[in-house]
Amino acid sequence: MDNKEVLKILHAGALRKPMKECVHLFWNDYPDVEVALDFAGSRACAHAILEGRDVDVVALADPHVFEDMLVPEHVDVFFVFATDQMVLAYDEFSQHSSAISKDSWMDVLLEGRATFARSDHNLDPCGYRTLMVWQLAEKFYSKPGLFETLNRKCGQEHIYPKSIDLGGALLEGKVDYIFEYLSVTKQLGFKYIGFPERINLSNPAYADYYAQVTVTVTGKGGGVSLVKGAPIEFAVAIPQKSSKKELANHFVKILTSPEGEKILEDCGLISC
Amino acid sequence: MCADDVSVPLEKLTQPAILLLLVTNKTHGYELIQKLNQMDCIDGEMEAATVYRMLRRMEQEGLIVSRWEHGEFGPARRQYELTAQGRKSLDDWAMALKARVKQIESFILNYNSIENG
Repeated sequence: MDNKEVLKILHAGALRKPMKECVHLFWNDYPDVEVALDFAGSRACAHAILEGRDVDVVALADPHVFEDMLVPEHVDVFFVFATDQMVLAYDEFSQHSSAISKDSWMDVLLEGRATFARSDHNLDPCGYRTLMVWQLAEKFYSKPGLFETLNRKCGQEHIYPKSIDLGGALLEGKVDYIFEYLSVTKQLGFKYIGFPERINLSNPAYADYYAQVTVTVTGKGGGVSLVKGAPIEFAVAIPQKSSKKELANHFVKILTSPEGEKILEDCGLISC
Repeated sequence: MCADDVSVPLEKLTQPAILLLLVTNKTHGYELIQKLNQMDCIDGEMEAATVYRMLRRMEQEGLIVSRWEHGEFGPARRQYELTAQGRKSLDDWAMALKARVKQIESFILNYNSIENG
């Protein structure tokens, strides 16, 4: 009979690579502990905890998900540890990729035969952040109707459960362009178009500007909540019900240590 | 060429500006970025990534220290505080900048005397 201790970690798909790397550091100190690492869209992760899933560490792509769904019943405190920005990712086989630029991306997506994808805003912060980027772009470029037009063209077949799935769709050539985090884009080696800071949700200096846009998200039970635009942040917590608090604390310490910061930076995230 | 074409490289003022903001209050990175972008001595937009990386470097150099701050519930953020070494660095910056102001004032004085014949 194997009596190994198991540390259960549930995390946002966008954190896949840095979390795996941090587990390797964790094993330097606890080589006999088994780590069960699982991932989903951040809102889907929170739903799993609400439904009773036993988790020792939960790392999500938006502190708002903790506030909206998990605090104070399941989580007391969550640690904001990294930031990112939204980009438009593509590869050399994407239609019209030779013509795309910071100025032409809206025309390429709307006028050509090019297809583009986003993640599901009800399951994944990258999904509602994409809808925010479209609303902010409409304001920034003074293009009335831009949001509606992009939203209409991005059909259900191009909406994926989580941000990391978008990378697979682009790799397989199912879509030409994806609205993705810069970190995931860099990890997968895609080309990308960066957006101005008033659009890309990266800069706290524009927090009030981002807050002008909102997205309505629907929970599993049908309840709705409003998410305001905000700078992108990632946060980690140890749920109250964790039975491995000492091990969980050690893992969080690694994630927020100088070694963890280097891993995050190497994965394209900004430690904060 | 007009005044807008001449760019005096002020990007190095970011570090003393961070030290100056931390003299009076412990602050987390998110708030520091917001305050930096409101300071007149900062030229143009400060990218969040640049500031977060600079904070890490300043901590490694011993100018600031950080610790996680949080209430009973809600978000915990890394708060930064000035060290004695950081305070000395701010004083050194202020002295160096005052000397530079004198040089600039002398330049303007010479320029004006030529312009006015």
